[in-house]
Amino acid sequence: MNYQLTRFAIIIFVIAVPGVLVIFPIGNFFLMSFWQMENNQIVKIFSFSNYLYFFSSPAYWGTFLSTLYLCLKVSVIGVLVGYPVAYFIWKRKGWLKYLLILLFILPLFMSYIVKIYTMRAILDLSGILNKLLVAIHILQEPSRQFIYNQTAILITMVVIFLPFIILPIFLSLERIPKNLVNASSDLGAGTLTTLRHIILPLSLPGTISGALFTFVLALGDFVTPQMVGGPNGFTFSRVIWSQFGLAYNWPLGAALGVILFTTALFIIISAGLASQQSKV
Amino acid sequence: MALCLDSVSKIYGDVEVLRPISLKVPDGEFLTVLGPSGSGKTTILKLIGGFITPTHGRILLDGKDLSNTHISERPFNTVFQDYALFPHMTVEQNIGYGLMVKRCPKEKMKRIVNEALDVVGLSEYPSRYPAELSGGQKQRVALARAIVCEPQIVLLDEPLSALDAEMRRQMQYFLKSLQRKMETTFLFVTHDQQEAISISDRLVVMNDGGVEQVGTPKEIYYSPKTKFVAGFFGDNNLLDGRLTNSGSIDTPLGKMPLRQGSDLKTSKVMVAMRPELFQIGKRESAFNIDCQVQDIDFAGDMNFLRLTTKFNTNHKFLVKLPSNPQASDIKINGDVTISIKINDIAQLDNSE
Repeated sequence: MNYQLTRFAIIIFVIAVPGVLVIFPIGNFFLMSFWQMENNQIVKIFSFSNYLYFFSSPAYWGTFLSTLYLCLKVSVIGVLVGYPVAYFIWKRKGWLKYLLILLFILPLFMSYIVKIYTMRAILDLSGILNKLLVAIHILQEPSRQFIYNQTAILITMVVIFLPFIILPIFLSLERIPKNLVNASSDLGAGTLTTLRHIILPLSLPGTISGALFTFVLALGDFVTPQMVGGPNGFTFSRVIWSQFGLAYNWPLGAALGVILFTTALFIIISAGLASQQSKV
Repeated sequence: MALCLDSVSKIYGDVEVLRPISLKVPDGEFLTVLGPSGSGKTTILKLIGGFITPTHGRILLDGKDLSNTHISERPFNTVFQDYALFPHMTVEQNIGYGLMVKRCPKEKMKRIVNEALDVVGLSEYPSRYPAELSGGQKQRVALARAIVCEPQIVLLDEPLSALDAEMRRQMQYFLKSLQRKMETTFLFVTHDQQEAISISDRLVVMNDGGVEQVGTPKEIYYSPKTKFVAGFFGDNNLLDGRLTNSGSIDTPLGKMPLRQGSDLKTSKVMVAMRPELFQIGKRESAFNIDCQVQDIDFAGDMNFLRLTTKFNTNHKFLVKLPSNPQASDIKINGDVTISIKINDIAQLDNSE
């Protein structure tokens, strides 16, 4: 009797905690997205006007689409940079391998704001990047190309989210049995052939989850665009933030939030299905 | 003369996992490397395959040094212990991988793969994935994958150790007949003595990182050269002895003449007598032992006699006699004299 009661309590707890902490706020937002703003007051009248407003104003969905495109670029460039790094680390032997992976994951333990400031210091007009490019005569004079625009956001996000790409790729590489690589060589495959036919397909799930992590993180990030994007670096998450923090139009902000949330969910689910299809 | 190991050794840190070994493997031989785990047998295979490099010595193929030849360029293919099938490829793709890598034309590849599927009896499953196969089927895919590229040597690393007894016997027979048909060198690593003896043309017996003896299964079984080999294969009756100046061996059970062609080098020797080579009753020019019967085990085709010698009850003997339906006149606690021909006794140096 007592045992069953304990079980029941545990189940209630397991259901209630996520229920209260996750589903309740999201549900609340979802509800709010159907309400209106009148004379700086939230009016609880159900209508689709917030959503209609979003779809009818090109400024909003234009920003939305360009943000999706930006996040896609962050993911793709992140994978293009992160995969070779993960592969290189994986190929090291003994303690060096684990020291290197630790070094690449270490930034995860640092404050996010500190990292953005560091990136700003690097990309700024008087930053290290410009000094370096001028010193090696690639640029005649320091350029404003790297700061306070979409490129700045792209570079900063790629750098900051790199550990989220490297770690899952590294882990999926670690899971490939050494003997499969040996078998491939044994059957006459060189390093590149083995990479293409064995290692890449078998590390695809890790690569997809790394890319997904990054995409979703980039989609929701409103601090990076604000800090390094300047006036040209407007992203959808910044738009949402401004509805809450500047315009005080919470219902519209909630509606935009729901749109972002649904999009992210859709992408995660379809990528998950796609990686299940790939027979690994 | 095809493959030649020239005092090849392997040292990890300060552990010598393989003491210098020299070995010649002629073309078309079924050679088995046999030993308990940790004896260095898999190391030999990995060295030949090129997965690890020797610390000293050279490996030669048809007189050509393989030291700088990468795994992928050696004309050898391996059947791995855990099969190492590519999980994301079908049976067909797994078998065709070596051909695909060598840019074999599609048509030809299809034909060769189908032939290989036929040979290993998997024609019905070309598009299955490894996860959908049984252990025995995976084993056969691994084998087919290793032979389609027509390697000069097929390396087999304990390929049958994960199979059940019945499957194992079938595969042993299959491997042997396949090897005869292909006329390719098979280099087979196992820890199973029975398997090694029944399957191979020649055996290399390893122990503790060194070679104990190289020879045909019969030589290894009936004429062991070391104490380890004498005790490693099946049942054996071992006796310590001492070589005398008069050319005979002093054993605790009396003097024993040397067998023909004996080449003993040390004075401390050991004699080994196979249980199935004894007969009941005293014989001329044989080694006779008076015993008392302790126990008789009936094993169907055989009777196992457990004996102690009259001379010293600490000396235990095992004798295997063919059984028959008639009542035996050998009784427990009864006396019996057993004899073995001098030339059937293995006499070996016991350097320990």
